[in-house]
Amino acid sequence: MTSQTAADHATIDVPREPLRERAYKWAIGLVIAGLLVWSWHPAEMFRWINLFTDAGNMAEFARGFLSPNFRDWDIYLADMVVTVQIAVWGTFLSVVFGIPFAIMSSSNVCPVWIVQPVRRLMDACRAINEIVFALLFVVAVGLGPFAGVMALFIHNLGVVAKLFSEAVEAIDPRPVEGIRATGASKLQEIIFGVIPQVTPLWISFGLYRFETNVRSATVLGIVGAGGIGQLLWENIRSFAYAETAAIMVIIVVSITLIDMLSQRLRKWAI
Amino acid sequence: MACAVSVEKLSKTFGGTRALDNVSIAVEPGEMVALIGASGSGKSTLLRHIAGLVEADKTGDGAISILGRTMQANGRITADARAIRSSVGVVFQQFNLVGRLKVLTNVLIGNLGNMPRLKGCLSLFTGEQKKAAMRALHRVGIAQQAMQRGSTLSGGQQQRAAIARSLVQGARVLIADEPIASLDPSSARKVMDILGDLNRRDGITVLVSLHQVEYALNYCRRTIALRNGQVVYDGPSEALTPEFLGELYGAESEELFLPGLDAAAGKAEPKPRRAVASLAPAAAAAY
Repeated sequence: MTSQTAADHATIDVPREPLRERAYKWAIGLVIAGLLVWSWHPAEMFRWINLFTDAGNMAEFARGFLSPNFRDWDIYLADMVVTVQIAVWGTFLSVVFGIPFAIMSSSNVCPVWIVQPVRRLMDACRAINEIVFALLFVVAVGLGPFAGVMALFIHNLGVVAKLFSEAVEAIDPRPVEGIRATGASKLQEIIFGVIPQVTPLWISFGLYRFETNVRSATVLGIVGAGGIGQLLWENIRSFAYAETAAIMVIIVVSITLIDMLSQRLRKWAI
Repeated sequence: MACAVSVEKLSKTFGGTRALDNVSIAVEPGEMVALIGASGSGKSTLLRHIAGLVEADKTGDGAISILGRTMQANGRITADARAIRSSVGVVFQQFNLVGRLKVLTNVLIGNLGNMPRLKGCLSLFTGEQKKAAMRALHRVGIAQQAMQRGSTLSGGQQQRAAIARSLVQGARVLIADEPIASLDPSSARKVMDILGDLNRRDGITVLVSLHQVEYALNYCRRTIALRNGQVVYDGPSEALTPEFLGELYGAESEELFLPGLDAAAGKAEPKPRRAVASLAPAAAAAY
């Protein structure tokens, strides 16, 4: 530091950000602002004032929620357990059946004429919400949790295939070549070269989907596909805010516990 | 008798550049041949073609056969390739092993080409196969590490595990692509000693690409030199004096000598030759 003189400091200018980069930042800002303006009216954002003019209704809501009624807690808890069980089976099926589809939609493993059709099929599974699938399965297999399991299964098949195949596409190809060089078959290359590399990520994604599925399963009951959603919906519709509040507390606590547990497991898996 | 490795008029073009230009080589069974050349001279490309991992140019009539069976011809890998690969061991410069699998499993993978596919897929390896894998690991000196994950091994140990995999394969031809390029001198010597030992005692044909000519001089009687995708020399290693390499490669030749040894001085005395003699019996005793 002692060798540096005041003159050295004086001669060094702070470089200006290039015009291109500044223009780029402005452009991004303008695009976002444009999107917001474009969506303002269709989304009825002009009604923000109602939040204040109708505050009385809100207060009534809040009063009900502040005194949750846990009289039927055992029923709520039993339904919450069913909700988790729906998520368990939905996740399990989507992972088991998602793995082959994930492999088939990985461009570094399969040829394009397999990858493209499989990917489009998986897109279709993903594009349609669980609730919509639940409505369809309620018609097909009747009311109850099984329809919920099927709804989660089909929707998550698409999600799992995409997440898992992204992991497969990011593998290191060199150990796989080593296996190919021993005369192994294509399937054996996948089993011994690809899957060991992606296992930790797959476990992590699988657990993450389980968390998400428990959350999704809490609303499946609204359309009659089992779980705590049905009770929730009935209580909301009959303006039983105290009971609704109790159910929501149970959902929040359960989801928090499951998220914490699954996070712990994910860290351990990697 | 058929050549162990025969490459005829092989060319490969990547984009606009000719990586291999009409290369023809023939390696007899039981030979240990060094393949030298500066970076980008086509060594790796040639070896990857021989291993059947890359297809050559479709134009021209290049062909590669291993022990008399055609691996690829006219830029097409033959239907036989899977069967042929199982008799060719390949050791890469790095990343030979699947890091998350145990070393033993990595070595057992060598069996996949020679067992029923379904059994292989379910990793139903027999006790005999496991014993053979342990013998192979013992022979290359890393039996202790059998139960560790591949990723926990040092660079030299990984190379040795890959050699053990080739042994389990029952490979008659071993192709090593710069197996010692990223290793320290003592690990490098160990790996080269093991390759030499497999060649002498088991009669396995070894074709090894090397960056530094000293190792070629010490371990291989014959050397093939590549430059810009062409074979510029094929003959006894002794002839590769610094002057001659200078003629072949010009300024590039500096790259071919171990740093620290004074190439310009003319006589780069091959130091490790004595080490070979002393280490080989140790490796033999270990088996």
